[in-house]
Amino acid sequence: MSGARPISSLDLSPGIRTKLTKAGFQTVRDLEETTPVDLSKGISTDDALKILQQTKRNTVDAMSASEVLVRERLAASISTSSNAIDNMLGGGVPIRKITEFCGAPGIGKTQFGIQLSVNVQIPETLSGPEGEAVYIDTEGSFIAQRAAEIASAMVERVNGHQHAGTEALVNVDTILSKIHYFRLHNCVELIALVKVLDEFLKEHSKVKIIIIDSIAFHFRHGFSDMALRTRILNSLAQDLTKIAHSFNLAVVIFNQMTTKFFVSSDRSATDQAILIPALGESWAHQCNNRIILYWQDGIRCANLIKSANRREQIVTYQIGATGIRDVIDDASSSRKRPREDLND
Amino acid sequence: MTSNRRLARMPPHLALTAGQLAKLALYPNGGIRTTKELLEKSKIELVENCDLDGEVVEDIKRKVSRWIVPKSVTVLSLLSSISFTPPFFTTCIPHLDAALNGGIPFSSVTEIVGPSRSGKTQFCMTMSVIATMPCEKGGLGGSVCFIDTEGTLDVDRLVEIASNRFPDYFNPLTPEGKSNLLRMTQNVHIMNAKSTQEVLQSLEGLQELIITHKIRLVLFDSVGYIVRKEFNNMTNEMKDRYSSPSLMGRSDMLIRESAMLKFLAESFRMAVVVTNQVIRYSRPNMISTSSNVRKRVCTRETNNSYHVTSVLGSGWAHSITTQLTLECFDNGVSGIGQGDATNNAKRVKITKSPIAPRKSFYYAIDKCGIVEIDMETNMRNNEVGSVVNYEGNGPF
Repeated sequence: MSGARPISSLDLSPGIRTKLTKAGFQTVRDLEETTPVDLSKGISTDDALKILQQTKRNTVDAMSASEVLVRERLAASISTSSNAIDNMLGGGVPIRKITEFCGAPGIGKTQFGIQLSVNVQIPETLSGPEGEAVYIDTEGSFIAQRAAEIASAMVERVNGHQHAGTEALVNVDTILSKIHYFRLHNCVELIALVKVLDEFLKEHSKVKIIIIDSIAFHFRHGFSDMALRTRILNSLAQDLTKIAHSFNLAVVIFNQMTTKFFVSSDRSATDQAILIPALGESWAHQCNNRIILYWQDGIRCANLIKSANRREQIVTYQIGATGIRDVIDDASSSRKRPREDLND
Repeated sequence: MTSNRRLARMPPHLALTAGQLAKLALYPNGGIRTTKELLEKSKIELVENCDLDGEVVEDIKRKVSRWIVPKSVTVLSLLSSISFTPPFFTTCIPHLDAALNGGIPFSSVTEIVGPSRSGKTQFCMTMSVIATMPCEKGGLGGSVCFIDTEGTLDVDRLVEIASNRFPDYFNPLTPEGKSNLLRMTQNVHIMNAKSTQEVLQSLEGLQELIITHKIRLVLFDSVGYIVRKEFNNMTNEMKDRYSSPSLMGRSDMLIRESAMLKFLAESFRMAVVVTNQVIRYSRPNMISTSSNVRKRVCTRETNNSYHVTSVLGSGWAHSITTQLTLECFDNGVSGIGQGDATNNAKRVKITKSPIAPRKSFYYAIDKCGIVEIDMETNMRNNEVGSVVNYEGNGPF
């Protein structure tokens, strides 16, 4: 079918395109029959070669499912330090996928980001990814001291698995030196960074996770043209997907929540407002996994609402001095009791 | 701000050729002259409208991106650069400072929310007094910028707080204390802003003021007042159309304000504190719907339960890094002895912080400004009354 693609959809400069149409070329199939010399009757050979390379680039590059399976098996997921959330995601935040966390302010999105950027460095001997992290901060909410705190808790955990007397596997300073931090002040910088991120990743080939905290902030102001916003977001997401695939890394994006009003036709009825992830419907299609974080009765909950391979599920977690952890059973049951009292 | 630059200014090793610049300037509707305009366009648009090759466009975009993209730093170097300057400023409540790992963090925006008479302005005034004091006395040794939208700042009260809180340093009877008091009042710069337009203008002009007067703390009291006044026309005609441009305009304006405050806080490494009003709403009803979004049923009438939320919605709440919520108790409920300092006991709770757990602390307002109350004695005096209120609802 791709042969029927019209010439006008190739990214050729208008001058060359006019010449092609004049010469009677309408679709890509017409071009396939020619050779560079043949084509160069009206234009230079360089341009002719360029045109033909364009058409060839449009052929499909397929990979068999078994190849994909092998690749995905090889990639270790990144643990969130909460078993419940890891199980919900099938072992942790998946490599080669875009995972989005949405949540109200104060629910712990930044904590997830810091925890993941530390956990990506769990050594291979403990079946961790042993990689580095890129942390893209658009909000300025990253606190280095907190990263040090979470890192030292991770170090203690990892070294606890070691036999006494052997050398420690990790230490806090090396962990912190392997988190690359970008602070962006507007969305132009974000577009620019994603554009040249592949150069950075070539220099730092051990990067296994890219964290964007948060995608929404700069896109929620200063855009009068919503179509433009959608287009920029989509092209960002496509670039990120490409990066996730070609560099074998996980992309984690944090998103804010926004309030959507429903006005009931009956004036006396209560008006409803629901909290939904920001940036709209078309953005929702860009992520492979989407997790909503929210409070329920004083307990933090995580709800997987979009995933291609895991079922929808709600789990609880908590955030302590050492980072993200599971809710311990007896603690949660004692907290649930007052709620039951309330219902009576 | 810094990343919307003119393409003609690009450094020699990245510079675009004159021909390329000329072609970009031919873009319909005004041409492409800045980095922002260029990066917002897609490749195909540029190829189409500027008569450039696809590869050339890629190359131009890459060069421009390289030019404006900020350098990365490792968290390790981030941490060591911070430790040279004290990164926190006191909240006037010692235990709260300890919980926040030192107090109000620099380089980020902190919000104090609370109902009326909970002491938001008192917090601001006490902090401005402390901030003007020299570093060795626990201050910041700089000036304070006080953006006052409600017109509640009272300079007499500032002097009162100063001379009662630090009777030695600000003794009005000695010439030294007098000059200290004078310097304190000189170092608090008050900006009155009566409309959102004025607020944005003063924020834009703030950079110069910060440099010339060595401002280390910006207080904004209160951010909600003006926007509520200007945009809160939601009674009748807007009830039909909630998504009216005015409400959108409000959140757009707020996020712009907060982006500017953040930028200032970070570029000058200073503390920014904003105060905000609250509305009460009934206990949120969490219902999980088929599409798995959380549903919050809002009713209009106020309710007795202590569930308050800051007025400006989630868009604003996302943009602040630390949030402290103030609560006052009804005197009838707490029922403690009259004339006692604990009589007007109020509570401050950490509701959002990247480093601190959700803890609560008690304070009162007296002639020294904000003072902490010892919780132990408060609890002993008060065994029957406020136990219910004392239980925090966070996981800590």
